[in-house]
Amino acid sequence: MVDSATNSKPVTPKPENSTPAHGENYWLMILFYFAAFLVGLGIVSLIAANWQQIPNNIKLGGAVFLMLCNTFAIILTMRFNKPILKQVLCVIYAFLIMGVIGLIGQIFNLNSDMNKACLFWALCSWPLFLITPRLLWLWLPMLFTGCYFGCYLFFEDSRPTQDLGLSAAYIRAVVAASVIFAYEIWMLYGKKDKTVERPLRFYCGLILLSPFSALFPYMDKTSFMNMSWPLLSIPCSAYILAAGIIFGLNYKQKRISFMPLFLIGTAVELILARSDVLKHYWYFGYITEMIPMSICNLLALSAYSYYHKMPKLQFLTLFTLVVWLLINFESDIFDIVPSLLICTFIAVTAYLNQSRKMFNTAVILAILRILAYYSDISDLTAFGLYLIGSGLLLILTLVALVKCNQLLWEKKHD
Amino acid sequence: MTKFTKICILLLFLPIIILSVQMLRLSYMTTFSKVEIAVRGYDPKDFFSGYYMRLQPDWQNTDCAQFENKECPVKDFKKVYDFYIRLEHSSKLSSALLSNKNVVLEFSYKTGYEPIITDLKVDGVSYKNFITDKETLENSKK
Repeated sequence: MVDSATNSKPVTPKPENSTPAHGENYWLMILFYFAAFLVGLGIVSLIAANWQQIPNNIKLGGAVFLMLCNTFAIILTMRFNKPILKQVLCVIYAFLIMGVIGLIGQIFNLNSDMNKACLFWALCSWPLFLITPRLLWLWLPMLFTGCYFGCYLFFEDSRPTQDLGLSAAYIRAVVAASVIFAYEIWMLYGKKDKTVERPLRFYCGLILLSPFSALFPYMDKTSFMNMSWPLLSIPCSAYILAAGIIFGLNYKQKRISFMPLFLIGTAVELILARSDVLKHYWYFGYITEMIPMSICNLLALSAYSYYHKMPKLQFLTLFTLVVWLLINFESDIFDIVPSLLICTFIAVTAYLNQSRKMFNTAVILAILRILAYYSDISDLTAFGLYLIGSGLLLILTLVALVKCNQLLWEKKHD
Repeated sequence: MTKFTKICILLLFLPIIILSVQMLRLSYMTTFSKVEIAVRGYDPKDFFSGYYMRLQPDWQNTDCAQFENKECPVKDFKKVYDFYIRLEHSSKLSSALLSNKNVVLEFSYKTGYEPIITDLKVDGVSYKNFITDKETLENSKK
């Protein structure tokens, strides 16, 4: 029975993100278990601080005991149908197997042969993938690493001459800029054809995902730092000129393009790299000042894909930003600032896209990044205490996040 | 529970069984007779060199009388061995290698089995005691 007062009220659809769905709680639960894992790891570190005093038999026995506990815990989750907990425990079990293999290698002084360790791990852990097929993403790379571990030797031993390196870098940069320019012209004036547009967009996106090009082994720091400023000004001027032309053409057509930002960002980063401003970015002997350039490009590409309603490309760029964030957990203050900026960018993007999951991920990544800033502790006892404190702090933060989340998304929909 | 679930539960114990067998096998292999092989340092180009000492057997300075038939079984041993040490002890052991001290790797060895490292000795003393004695000496000097 509906009275006239109720009938006159407009029916407002329930906002999608006003109440947490099962999928959105998934990540929060994972992080709760991660926090618990940190506390556990802290306890292990405190034990490791007195590692030399512990007899080998007890170390090995303790490892087997942990594995048994984990196994029975997984069995209980299967018995009582707790799928999320089961997956978490399977991941922990996979890492525990890795740890035990390392422990055996340490105690018996076996050769530190990574490919054999990876293959042995793959042999031991394959039953886990019958229980949770998502672990395949972990198992396959390890199997690949075991079979092709020597690939890293390629980067160490196969540096070409300086001239060839510079030429390759220039060719790469010129090709990238040309493709971007051609794409913009085609989008403005060309016939719209989906069969051409989609691969062209994908190709531009790949080129602009500079983290991959930054790992290209032909850029030698010595040759780049010896490059004269007049020589460097040629590509920088070309990038700035191309950016101006693209901006002008789009402005005339009343269309916003973020491509000029990529080109200007590339020019700025080349200048910064040549000025040797970012001195601490130096891994494996190659110029990694390209990494900040990559971040600028990714941020601009993400904004571009948001504006042009390309959700898959946006997701790809945000995922790449997260990967960069996770592989660069250093404690230097310069690293923490861009990391927090990235997290802020992801949080704002999530808020605009009404994605609670992405928003929660951004907040948690920022917290983890701050915690990692204080993780450069050499003393095992202090490190163990740090991990325990971090785990407890993370739990408290997650609880606060859950409490505040509802308020934030209700306000957004209001 | 379905049959598949029961099989999965049984297979969960497979890693424990494999690793336990590996541990027992290696522990058994450390009970063989002990032999000492002189070693010298090896120039590492490895990401993990900070946690392992890489040592090369020095057969010219090794006493082959400890083996059967008084012959050094060179083929049964590898060309390079890793010995795990704590990072803070690496400098003391490296200096021991450079200062021509009598550094040997102790192996548990039996014909037909892979040799297993059991200890690193410096001048006849286990490296742990060598480091402890050295630290005691340094502290007393201070």
